[in-house]
Amino acid sequence: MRAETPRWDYFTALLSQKPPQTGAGHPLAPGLPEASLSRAAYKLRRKYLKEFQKRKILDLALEDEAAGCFYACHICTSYSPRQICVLRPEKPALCGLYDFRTAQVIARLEPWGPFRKVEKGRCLNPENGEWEGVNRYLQQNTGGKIKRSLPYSLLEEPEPVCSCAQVIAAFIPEAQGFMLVNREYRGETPLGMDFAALLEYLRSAEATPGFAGLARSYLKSPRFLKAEGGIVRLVWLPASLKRAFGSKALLPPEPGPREVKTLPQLLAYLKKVGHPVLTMENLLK
Amino acid sequence: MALTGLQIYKYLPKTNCRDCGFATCMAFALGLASGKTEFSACPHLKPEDRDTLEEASTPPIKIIALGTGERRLELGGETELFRHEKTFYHPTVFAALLEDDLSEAEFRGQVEKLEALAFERVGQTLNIEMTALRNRSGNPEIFAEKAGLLSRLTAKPQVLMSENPASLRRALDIVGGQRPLLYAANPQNWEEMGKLALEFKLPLAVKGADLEELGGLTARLKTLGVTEMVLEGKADSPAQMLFNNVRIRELPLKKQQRSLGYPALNLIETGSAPELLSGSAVCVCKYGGLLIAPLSAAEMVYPLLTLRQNIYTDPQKPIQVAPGLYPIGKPGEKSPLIVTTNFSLTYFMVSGEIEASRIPAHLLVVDTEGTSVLTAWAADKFNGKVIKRALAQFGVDELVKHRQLLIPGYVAVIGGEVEAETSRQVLVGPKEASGLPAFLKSKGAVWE
Repeated sequence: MRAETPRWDYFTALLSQKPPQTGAGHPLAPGLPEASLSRAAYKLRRKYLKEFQKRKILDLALEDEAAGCFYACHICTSYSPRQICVLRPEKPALCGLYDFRTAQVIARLEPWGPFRKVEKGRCLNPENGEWEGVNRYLQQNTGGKIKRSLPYSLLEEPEPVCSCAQVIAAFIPEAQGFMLVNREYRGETPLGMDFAALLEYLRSAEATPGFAGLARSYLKSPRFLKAEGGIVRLVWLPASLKRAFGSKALLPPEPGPREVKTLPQLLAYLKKVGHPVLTMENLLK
Repeated sequence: MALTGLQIYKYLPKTNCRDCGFATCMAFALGLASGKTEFSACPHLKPEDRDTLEEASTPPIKIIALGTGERRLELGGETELFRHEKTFYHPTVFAALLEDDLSEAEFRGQVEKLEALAFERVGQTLNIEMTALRNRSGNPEIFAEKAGLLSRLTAKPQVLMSENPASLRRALDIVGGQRPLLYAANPQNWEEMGKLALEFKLPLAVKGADLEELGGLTARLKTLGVTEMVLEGKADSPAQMLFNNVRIRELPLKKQQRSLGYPALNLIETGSAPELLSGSAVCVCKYGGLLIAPLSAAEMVYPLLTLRQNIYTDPQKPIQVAPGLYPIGKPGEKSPLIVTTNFSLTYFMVSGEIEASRIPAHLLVVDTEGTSVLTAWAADKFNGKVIKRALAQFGVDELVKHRQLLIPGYVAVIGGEVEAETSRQVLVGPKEASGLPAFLKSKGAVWE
């Protein structure tokens, strides 16, 4: 990894985290009272949690190119025939429940199950993550309905949105930026549609350029919005989602529902704070 | 070729003026892309832009309107071969076949029976929408007279069936204003029929020996200026009819064959009663736009109506009942209070079981956007807060003087939350509605 790329910063930030202290509980098992564990059991658990954290960090550092193959999830295909999520090291499933490593393990345990190996083939475009083998797999398994998958490009041909998406990213053409809205947020967005309305339009459509369904965990990934110019393209998101981004340093000051409710308000706000997205090139050609 | 939201957005004025009813142009574009609104809703579209957009999104299968006013019907406009891909838009329209050479008494009798053939199922009224009057006598006067009589006896729109354009013309002089369907143009009379259709501005059925002939006929009629057509391919057997229906749906959708881009018509009249029923069922299940058959026997019609209601449910819009507090039987202040969701099927099953138990009860139906109990719970639409809001909204405290509430068994997990939110004692009912009679009987009719 080259120094001073976002991935490197992220990696070092994670490595510098200390292992859990006694009595503090652990993020992975917060409810379990420490005192109830016998000393030996506690030591054992600490050891395995450390190992688990180490592996998780290594997984986070794994890049698409380095994986032997991807995995496809067919769970939602039973009710939404064109929905096959391809799980990659740099992008989990949009429901937030499955990531690449989980899919790999399940696929090995149950080769006849909902997770299947996908041969990557040749990489057609590393920017937006288009792989020849993935395209072929999707064409074969959706009866030709989905022909390509460009997972990291939100504007060209993002993956189709399934009704289980945790977060929806939507393009706001007037601001040349993206907004995020999550399932828990019930209010209105600057586009005039709340999460439920957006989901209604998107889940039954073909892949809709400008709109994508994402997992919360994907928001932390350095790939998020990278093809469009980086996280600086983010112009609106509910406050509860800001926490999902982890390290605050990565996130420029963003308006949320408290500051901005409608599109005119958003444009005024962006101008007022001199949001960097206003200086960037137009994404819509 | 369907346009995506972003592609449509490029043509819009981008003023976000809200005149179309959407908050932003992007929202309007998404609505257009999913067919939830019309281009005409935006008053600021430049004419050339509107033309481009309309051209790009004309449905591959023409929409044909029949009837006027309250009785207006639509056929066609389909975009899918399989309902689960998106939805079907227009259910098969049924037209009951009547012959014009019956005596007046017999004719009246048949129409009366037809009017009586209707019933309610899951909150919808199911009946036959149209009549089809056939010129079996061959006589224009008799045809016209019966057409007039028919229009006085029933408000249902008509299909006027005759090979003789003169008969049709006589009948149209009387009922032309009600937008009937003209049946039919064939390779011999297509020019006359086409001119008749243009004169009265009515849709025209087109008959052909096979799909090639049909395609040729529609192309020729189009040069005359006829744009609204319905297609009937010759079918000697149900298998042939199925083949025609599938091709007439498939070719415009998959191969852009515009000459067959019209709804399909099936005329089914030969065979025993079971054969008629099975042929009609094939038509309903497989892309029939309009079914003309002797639909007079209740034992044939009711199953067909039920089948159609099931096949043509929009998978994206579950059927709902209005939320509210429903009294089942004559409940009093101490009668049981039961809560469930507003999905039609759920409501009718639960209320039916409560009725079967003979114990009067209050049924609180909360708005879960038409989703069933487990679906609503999974989507967090059926929880303590929602129930609390419904209790307040429908004034339950005025009619129910005890503090107990029965929740469906499958969502027992929300019991604690419901108790906390509503300050009522929550009872967990059976998982299936069929367990309600036993449960209510054992708990008793009076709750404290």
